[in-house]
Amino acid sequence: MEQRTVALVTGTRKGLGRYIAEQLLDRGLVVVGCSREANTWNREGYMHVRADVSNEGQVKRLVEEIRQRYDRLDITINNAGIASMNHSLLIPGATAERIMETNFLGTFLVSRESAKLMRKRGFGRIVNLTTVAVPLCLEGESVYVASKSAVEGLTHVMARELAGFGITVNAVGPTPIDTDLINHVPPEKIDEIVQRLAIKRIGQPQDVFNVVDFFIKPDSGYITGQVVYLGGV
Amino acid sequence: MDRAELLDLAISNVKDFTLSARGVETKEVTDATCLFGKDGLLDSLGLVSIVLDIEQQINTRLGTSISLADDRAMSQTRSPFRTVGTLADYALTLIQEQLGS
Repeated sequence: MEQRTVALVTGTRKGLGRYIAEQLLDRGLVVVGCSREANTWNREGYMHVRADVSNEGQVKRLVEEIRQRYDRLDITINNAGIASMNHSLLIPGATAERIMETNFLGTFLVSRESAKLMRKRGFGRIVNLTTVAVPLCLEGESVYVASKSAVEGLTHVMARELAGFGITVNAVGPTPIDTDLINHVPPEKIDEIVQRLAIKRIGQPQDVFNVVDFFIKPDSGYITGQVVYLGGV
Repeated sequence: MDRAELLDLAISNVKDFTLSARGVETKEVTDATCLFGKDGLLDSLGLVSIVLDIEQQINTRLGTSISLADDRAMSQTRSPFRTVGTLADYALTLIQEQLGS
């Protein structure tokens, strides 16, 4: 069995996922990352697997690979997500389906398979990514908000179901962060969101990692089912 | 794997689990031992653990990808997980379906 802590981070090809993965690598963890497309970076201690988180077979193979190679999994960060900004009357069904599949189904499948491996050692930390768009009921983000609301519901229930296995499940809800996910959002819309926050600035990846870091600490074993929003919503 | 082997696998998993969870060895675990419910040996967490452990051991040994807790198992009026024997029977059915024998 691998002696170092093993973490799985989804959606690590770029943006926030890569940032989180690199922070964990800096701390000496073994990190397994995944993305649908081929990876563009590598580091000592990092292993990349091509997998679509909404594909059950691919998720099972991903976690099976971790089991075979390391025989343990301590931390899972469900970062992979997609967004599409549009009025609800203009969102095609296929787009809504795609967002739900990646954001909700992906989080569910990765959490389920991760927990199966984590329970063997009676320890696990699962951190899901939600968004301040949920409490802000952000116009133009109906399906994205619905998908992340589902993630929050999943967080609350899985926290209870997995507590007996020593696994905590929490979520962090970032404000808009300067990554690819918001590239398609007009600057005035971002500013509108920022003006609704207590702390009026765009978020930085380190703001998100700070909360992730808190949730994954061994000392945070008594904290589960919580959603922490950034920026003061 | 035949039924006898699956029964042995189920019995050893139940014994291992009760020993690790309660620190007490359960001597009498048989085909008819009730796993879940009013007179069951396990709580819900215990049942989940046993089902996942047996599923993984079967898949590792046979190279299969059976899911013991599939929709069919959950929708059956009489749960296939009610006794050690019914659990072994259900696993055997899934293995035979997947391996085509």
